[in-house]
Amino acid sequence: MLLGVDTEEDITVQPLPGQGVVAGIVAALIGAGVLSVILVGGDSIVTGARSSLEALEPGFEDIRQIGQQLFTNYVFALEVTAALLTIAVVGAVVLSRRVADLQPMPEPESVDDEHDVDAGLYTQPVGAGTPTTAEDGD
Amino acid sequence: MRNLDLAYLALGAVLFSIGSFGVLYRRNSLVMIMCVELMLNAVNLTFVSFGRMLDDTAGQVIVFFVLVVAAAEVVVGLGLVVSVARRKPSASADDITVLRG
Repeated sequence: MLLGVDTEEDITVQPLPGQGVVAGIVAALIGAGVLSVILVGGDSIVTGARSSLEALEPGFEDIRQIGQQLFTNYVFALEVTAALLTIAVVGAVVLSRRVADLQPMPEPESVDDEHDVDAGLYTQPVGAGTPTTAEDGD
Repeated sequence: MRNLDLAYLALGAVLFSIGSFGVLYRRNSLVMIMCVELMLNAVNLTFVSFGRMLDDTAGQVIVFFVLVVAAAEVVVGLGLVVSVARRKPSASADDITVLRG
């Protein structure tokens, strides 16, 4: 359903004419630009000093080095990502909560109604007075 | 060895351009999220290969943070896609135009 394989969409009709051509040109420019830099530049595109403290030696313990880096030099970024994940979980819960008195969206005239969900699935009329039970979603 | 590193960089560039083409061209919101993930992982590959070239673990440490940001983006993006698809299950990005004021 989410991938849209069950919808009969006329893909020959472009809502934005020329979108495919512009998208192809932009993507080809991005790819060709970076590829030409790599191909023309060769080794000289890698600038910067080679690391001496955090050197990756073959046979040396890689995972231990990464773990030490994460919890010493990058510990603030690690905590910030933890907070980011917490915020994302809260956002997902809020977005996926099924509100009891959800009304169907008032639609503009230009939107076709043929794919609309039956409104009775999600909506309860306001003031219908069903006491909130376990299906409240919280 | 050098040529192999450059080949990884070239693969990252190709994957990034494929992902950007998908974001610009596709109309399905879910496929657009997948293409954003493709772009993020192309950048991850570039980070790791530069870290290998410079013998630095920072290239691999950054990948952790990129992955966490990608996970958060997928969580919120999938929530938005599902909540839009509940009301209009045609799974097209054009449906979100009903959010206009």
